[in-house]
Amino acid sequence: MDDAIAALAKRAGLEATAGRFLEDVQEALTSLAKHRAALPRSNNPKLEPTPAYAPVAAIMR
Amino acid sequence: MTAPHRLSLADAGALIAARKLSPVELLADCVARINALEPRINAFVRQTFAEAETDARDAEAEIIRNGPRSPLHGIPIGVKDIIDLAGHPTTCHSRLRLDHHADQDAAVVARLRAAGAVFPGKLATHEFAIGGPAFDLPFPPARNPWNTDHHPGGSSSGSGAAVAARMLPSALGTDTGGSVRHPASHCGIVGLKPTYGLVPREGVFPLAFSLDHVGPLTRTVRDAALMLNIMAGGREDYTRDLGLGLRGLRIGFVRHFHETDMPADPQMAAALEAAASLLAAEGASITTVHLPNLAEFAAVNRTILYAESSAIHEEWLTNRPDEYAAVTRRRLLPGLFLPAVDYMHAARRRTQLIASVEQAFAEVDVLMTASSMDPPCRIDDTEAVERTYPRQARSPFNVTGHPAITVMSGLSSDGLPLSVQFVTPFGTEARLLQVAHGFERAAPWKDMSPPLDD
Repeated sequence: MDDAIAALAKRAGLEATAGRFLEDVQEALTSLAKHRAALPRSNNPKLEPTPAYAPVAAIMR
Repeated sequence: MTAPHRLSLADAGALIAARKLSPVELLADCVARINALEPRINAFVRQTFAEAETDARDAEAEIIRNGPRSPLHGIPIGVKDIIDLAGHPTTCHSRLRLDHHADQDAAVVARLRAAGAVFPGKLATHEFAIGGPAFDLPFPPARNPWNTDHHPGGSSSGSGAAVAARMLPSALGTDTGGSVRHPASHCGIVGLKPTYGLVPREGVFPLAFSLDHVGPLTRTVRDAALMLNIMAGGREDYTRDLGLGLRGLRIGFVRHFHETDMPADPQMAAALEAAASLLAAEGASITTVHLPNLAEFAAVNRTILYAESSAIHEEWLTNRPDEYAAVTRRRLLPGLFLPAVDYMHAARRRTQLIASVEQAFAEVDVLMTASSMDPPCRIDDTEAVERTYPRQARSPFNVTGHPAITVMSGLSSDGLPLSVQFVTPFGTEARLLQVAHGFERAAPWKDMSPPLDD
């Protein structure tokens, strides 16, 4: 296991899991990197998530 | 007379109400069908026939005495095995939950039971509703009734397979990134994901709480409406607009999802265009509508799913990782490496994505999109199975929470189901079902069934 993966696994509390299932952890990190790259980022406070539920809350009243 | 197991829920319910069909007779015929086909389909992880027979006998006696409680009285309904059925384990198709015991029904099961439904068993799922078809689990994966070498879709795979195979008229599924609509698409049936929060999730093992929905899988749109009437707690009669037809409805076709964002298989693309023509011939107007790119919806769905599911599975991934199927472990692990800030970015973008869909509804009554981009693949083709999960346009409406329904739109040259998806504004399930019903009624393939024995 290379040092970078070992460090990530330790931070996630997954040292033992990474030790036993290194390929799965590597694949998980690859998938995550792909999705992180595609994720739009914003620091606009107007987009805080609470309003996302407002339409649902309205019909459930 | 049509064999009872082939009847739609609505037709069986009507015959039961008229005392021309006994719930005991209906159940027995479904059980015979299950016994004949289950070795090929693997739809069930647990059969509860004796208990269901007792309930069917009680239903029969009560109907003779007082008439039916609802159109579902005496109707057998399957339950995806992440949903609690009192007195039985909810295994989630996992060895991690083999010793579980549900003390009470999930809220949605309790509603169906109170309406008189009977429950002949728990149905196969992907492990914890997130894995894929896996052969290293306590139960085998369900198979596609249209061709048992093929994937039935998932994760409500047993629900889709059982309903398509005419084992049961309806089943419960759950949908976090498309898991009701995927098996409905692949099995040629109807899969309804209601508005987020409309159907209660109490007693359903969570995958990602802000994306999870409970929905019915049925063979007809009317049956989906009848199921939703009970599942949503009797808020309204979702069958009320089924007969209104399509004339004058404004349908926005989101072509870029399957044309440029994620090019679909040519047969699927052709079936979608044919569906649009059919809707137009029935009097609907079709316009092209643009939403954000499918990849953005997918990234937001996946990030939220990773974060919320890892909070559920952290302890097991840390201490009992060997007890998962390999495919489940690989799908759950990313969440434990996800920076918290990503969850916030996804939540913020989600707000915009919801607004973009709401904005589209200012111009149209209904959105129409692809469901799956491809016909079902072989179940033993690991790479093709892996590709089937992202190649879809269902997860956008888990992100936004809008109601969505998938119905059959024909057969591929290999005789496998093709599909289309409709979406409407929050809380407008009656309109959604109206459109799907109008399409179903006009379509030439509505009476087709898998070639299992006919």
